Amino acid sequence: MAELKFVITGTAGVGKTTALTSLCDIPPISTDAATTDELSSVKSTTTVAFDFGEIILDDDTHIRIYGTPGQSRFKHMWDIIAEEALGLIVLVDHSRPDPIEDLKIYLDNFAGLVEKTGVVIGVTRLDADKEDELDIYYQCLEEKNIFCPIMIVDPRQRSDMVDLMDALMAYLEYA
Amino acid sequence: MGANRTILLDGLRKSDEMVFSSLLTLLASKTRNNWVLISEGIGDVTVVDIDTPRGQLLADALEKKGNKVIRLTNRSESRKGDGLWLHKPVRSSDILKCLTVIDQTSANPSTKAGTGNSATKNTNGSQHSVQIVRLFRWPSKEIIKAYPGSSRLCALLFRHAISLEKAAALSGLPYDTVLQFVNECKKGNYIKVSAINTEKTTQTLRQSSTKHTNLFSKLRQKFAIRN
Repeated sequence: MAELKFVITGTAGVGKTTALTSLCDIPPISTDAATTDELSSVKSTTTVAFDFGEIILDDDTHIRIYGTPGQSRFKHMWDIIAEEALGLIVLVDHSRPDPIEDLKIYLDNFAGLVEKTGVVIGVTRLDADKEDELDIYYQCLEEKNIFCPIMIVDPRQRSDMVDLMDALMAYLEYA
Repeated sequence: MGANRTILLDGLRKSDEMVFSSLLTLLASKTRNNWVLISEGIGDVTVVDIDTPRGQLLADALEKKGNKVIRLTNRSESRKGDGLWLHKPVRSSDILKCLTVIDQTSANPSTKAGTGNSATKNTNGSQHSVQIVRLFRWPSKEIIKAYPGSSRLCALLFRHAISLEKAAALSGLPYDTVLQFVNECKKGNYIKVSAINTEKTTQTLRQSSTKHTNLFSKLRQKFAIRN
């Protein structure tokens, strides 16, 4: 039976591993190592292979969520992880210098998965009452002719991540 | 901007529908009211191609019921001062003339001015005004949580401009729930009305994917998402 999985991606430090911890019954297996590159001033550890967590349904079906490594030098792994995935979640850190460029990178690199299934965008490090600031992301998507939900999320909050998953499932089913 | 008014095209050739739709969009700034095309239901006015026996009968029947009808024909004669006429090929000036007459003589706009594009439902028997709506932003979590099952409604309205009736039918939600939800989204400026050609709406709207419906249903149960 084919593996049931979703992929969550985004820049290093955006909160992918945290999001997995919020969502999954079996916490993500940590493949962290000490950060040694320029990211070391931002976080002490970083994902060097990929994270995955598991959600176990009542009928014992296991759904995996894979978190891709955020740094671009792990790009070669993204295609492997994305193969046969049910859908994609992209987390974008609004506090980064150019979050739009970040978003474009992940949409481009997972274009095949987006085309075949669907994507939702979770914007982190943005206050929930600043929805107007999502306009720049909608404009970016419009330029790429992509129509998908964009939500402000805090990866530490299970309810936010559940809302994101709900939006993704609805989009996959009804859009 | 005046009130929102609806036009239903019935029996038109595809080419005439496309031309009418395009010209209506161009005339948006010249009409007193905001005219949009609908794909189903009863419009404030119906444009009927009467160059077929069915069209002629339909136009007469609609007028007898008190509906406003614009007759579309390629016949050179028209009954002056009696009814509204468009001649093929459709011209923007002719459309504007008809809509201006209707605006001037109409006593009951479908919605009140200044409320944007609020969806309404008349309680007068089976007639109701419908609007084509589309989300251009995903609504806030508060709105979605207030209406169980609204995430699938959002997905539909996000991707397609459709009537509330169609949205209710496809999402499985009651019409009144859809109506309330849409009005909440309008308050939050998440939604807009777009004029959509009937044929185009039918062609672009596809059935929902059922491949993983069972799986997603279980996942929603797992997450305690009210659906």
